[in-house]
Amino acid sequence: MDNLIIEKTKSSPAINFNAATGKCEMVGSSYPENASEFYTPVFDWLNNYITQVTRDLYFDFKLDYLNSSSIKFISEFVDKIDKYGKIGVTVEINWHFRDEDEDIKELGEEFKDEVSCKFNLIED
Amino acid sequence: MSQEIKDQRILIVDDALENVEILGSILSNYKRSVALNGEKALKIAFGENKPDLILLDVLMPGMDGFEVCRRLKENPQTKDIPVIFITAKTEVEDETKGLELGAVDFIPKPISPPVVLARVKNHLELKMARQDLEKNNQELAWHNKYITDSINYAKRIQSAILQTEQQIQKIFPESFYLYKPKDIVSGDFYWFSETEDLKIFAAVDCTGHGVPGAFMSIIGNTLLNEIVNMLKIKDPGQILNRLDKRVISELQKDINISTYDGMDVALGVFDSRKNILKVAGAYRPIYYIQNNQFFEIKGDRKSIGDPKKETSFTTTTIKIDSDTEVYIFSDGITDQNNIDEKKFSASKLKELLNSIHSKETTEQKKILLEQFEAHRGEVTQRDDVLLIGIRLQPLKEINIINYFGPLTHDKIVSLGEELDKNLQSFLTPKQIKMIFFCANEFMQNIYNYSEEVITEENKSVGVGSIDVTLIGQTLEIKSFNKTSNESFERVKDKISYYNSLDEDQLKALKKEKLAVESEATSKGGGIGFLEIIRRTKSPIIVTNDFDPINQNIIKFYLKINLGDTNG
Repeated sequence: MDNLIIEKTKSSPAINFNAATGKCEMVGSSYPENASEFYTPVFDWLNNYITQVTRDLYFDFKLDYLNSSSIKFISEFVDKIDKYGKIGVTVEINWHFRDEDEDIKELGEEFKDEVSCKFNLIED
Repeated sequence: MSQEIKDQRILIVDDALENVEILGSILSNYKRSVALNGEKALKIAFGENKPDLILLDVLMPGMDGFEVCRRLKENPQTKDIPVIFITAKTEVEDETKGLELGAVDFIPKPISPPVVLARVKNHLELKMARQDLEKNNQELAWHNKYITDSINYAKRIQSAILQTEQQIQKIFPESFYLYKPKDIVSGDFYWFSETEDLKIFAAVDCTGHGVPGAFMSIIGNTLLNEIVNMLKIKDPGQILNRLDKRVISELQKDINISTYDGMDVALGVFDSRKNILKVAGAYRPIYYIQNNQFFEIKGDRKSIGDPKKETSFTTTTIKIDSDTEVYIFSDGITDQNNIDEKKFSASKLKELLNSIHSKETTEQKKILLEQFEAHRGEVTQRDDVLLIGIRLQPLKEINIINYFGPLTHDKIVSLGEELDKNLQSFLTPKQIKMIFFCANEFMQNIYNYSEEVITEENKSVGVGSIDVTLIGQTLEIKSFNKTSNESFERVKDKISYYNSLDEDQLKALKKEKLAVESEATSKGGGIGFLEIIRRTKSPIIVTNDFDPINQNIIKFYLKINLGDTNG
C-alpha cells in the first residue's frame, strides 16, 4: 500500500501518512476551498489501511487552524481511527496544540472525551 | 422635687453633741446620719448609706474638717457629695481654703435655722439637677451612638448603590471622582451607565446633606436608572426633563410651598462611535478643555424638582475630535470657605483645572484634593463635595478588510492574510485567530450560499461583501450577499436560536452536530455560525434588505467587545 503525501498549502495541511510504519502526521491550517474534495483521499487512505494493512496506527495532529467544515471532517476522521482501535490493534493519537491556542486545545479535549483509544494532548 | 428632697440623706459632722442636736432638729425633714469626729464621718461617707450632702464642722479634735473634706474629694465614690462647712471661723482665708478643697458653701456659727435650711435645700436641689443632667447626657450619648450606628449602616447602603472607581474606569478608562461627604452619608452622588455605544455620566447634588440628602440621592439614583436604563432615554435634556417630572410627581409637589426638595444635576452622554458628547445641566455647569482651551456650558437656570418652573432642559452637543477633559461637580468644592470666609470659588477651580487637565487622572484627583484641603484648613467642610473628571478620547475607525465581489478561494485566503497583517499591531494572536475564524466563516458562507455567483474554472463562486472594522475596543464584522426569501428565513431562525443559547447549551449542540454520522459536505460542517457565537460570546445580527432591483439581501452583523475577550 502506498504512503499518502500531500504538500502543505496556506489553506490545507501537509499530509504524511506512512503505510509501512503506521505513522501518520497532519500539519498546518485547514480551510480548504472544498473540504470534501481535500479530505476524500485522506479518508480513502485510512479506509484502505484499515481493511488491507490492519496494523498499529499512530497519529500526530499538529493543526493550528480549522474552519468549521474541517472540524466536522477531522471529528469524523478521529472517530474512524478510534473505531479501528477496537478491533485489537494499537491506536494512539497525539493531539498537539500551541501555547494559548484555546480552540485547538478545547477541540482536542472534546475528542479525548469521546474516544476510547489512547489520546494524548501535547502542548508544543 | 420636694418629695424627693425629703428622701435625701444628710451627714452631720460635729464634735459638739449640742450642735449635732440643733442641726438635727433643724433638718428633721431629711434623713440624717451623725458623726462626732472626722474618722467616723469618712466611715459613713464610704459606707452603704452614702449621704447626699455633708454638713462639716471645721474645728474638731483629731482629723479636722478640712482634712475630712480633702479625703472625700480625692475619692471618686464621694467626690460628688456636696460639702458645707459649719464654722465659727469666718476669716476669709479659711473660707478660701475650704472652697479650694471643694466645699460648696459655708454656714457661720451661731447657726441660724432658716439659713441652714435654705442653703441645704439649695445645694440638694443643685446636686439633684446635676444628677439629672448627667443622666440626660448619658441618654443623649446613647441616642447619639444609636443614631450614628444607624447612619453608618445607611452609609453602607448608599455605598452599595455607588459604583467603585474600578467599575467606572471600565466605562471611562481615564476618569476619577472626588467624593467627600460632609457627614456620614451624602446628598451628592455620581451616576454612570453604559448602553451599547453610549456612556452616560452624572454628578447630582440633592438639596440638603446628611440623612435627608441621602434619601433624595436614593430617589435620584433610582429614577436615573429607570429613565436611562429602562426607558432608554438617551438625550441629556430629555433625561433631565423626565427626571424633573418624576421628582415632582414622586414627591407630590405643592406648587404653593415656597421651598421644595430637588436636585441640581450635570449630565453627559458620550457617543463613542460618533465621537459626540451631549450635555445638559440643571443649575450646574459643565466644564471641558479641548485643544488647551477652556469651555463652560452654563446649564439651565432651573433645578430638578422645582414645580414653579416649566422650562425644559437644553442639550448642548460637543464634537470630540481630540482628547477632551470634562468636569462636572456639585457646588461643595467652590462654596467651601476658608478661615477668612473666602470661598474656593469657580474661578479658582477653572484656573486649577486649566493647569492640571493634561495630567494623569489619578494625579489630577490628588492635586484637587490637596488644594481643597489647603483652602479649607481648619474650617469645617460646608457641604458635600463631588467632582468627576473624565478624559474622552475620539475613537478612530480602522479598516481591517473591506471587500465586495466574488469570493474565490484565493480571495478568501488573501483577505485572511490581510486581516492577520492589519490586526497584528492592535490585538493579541489569540484575538486575531478568533476574528480570523469569524471572517473566514462569513466568507465561506458567501462562497457557498450567495444567490449571486460567477463561474470560475467550472466552479460556482458566490459574490458578496465582507467588512472588518476596528473601533477602539470594538471589532465589527459585516457581510452581505444576495439570498432567497426562503433561505433568509431559514438562516435567520437558525441564528436567532443559536443567539438564545448559553455557553453550555452551545457547546452541547456543537457536540451533537459533530456526532451526527453524516458525510461531511463541502458546504461546511453546519457549526460555523454556532461556533462564531460561542467563541465570541456575541450574537450575530441577521437582517435583510432589498436592493434597487428588488432582490433580497441578507446582512450579517457581529460586534465583538475586545475588552470582554481575555488575552
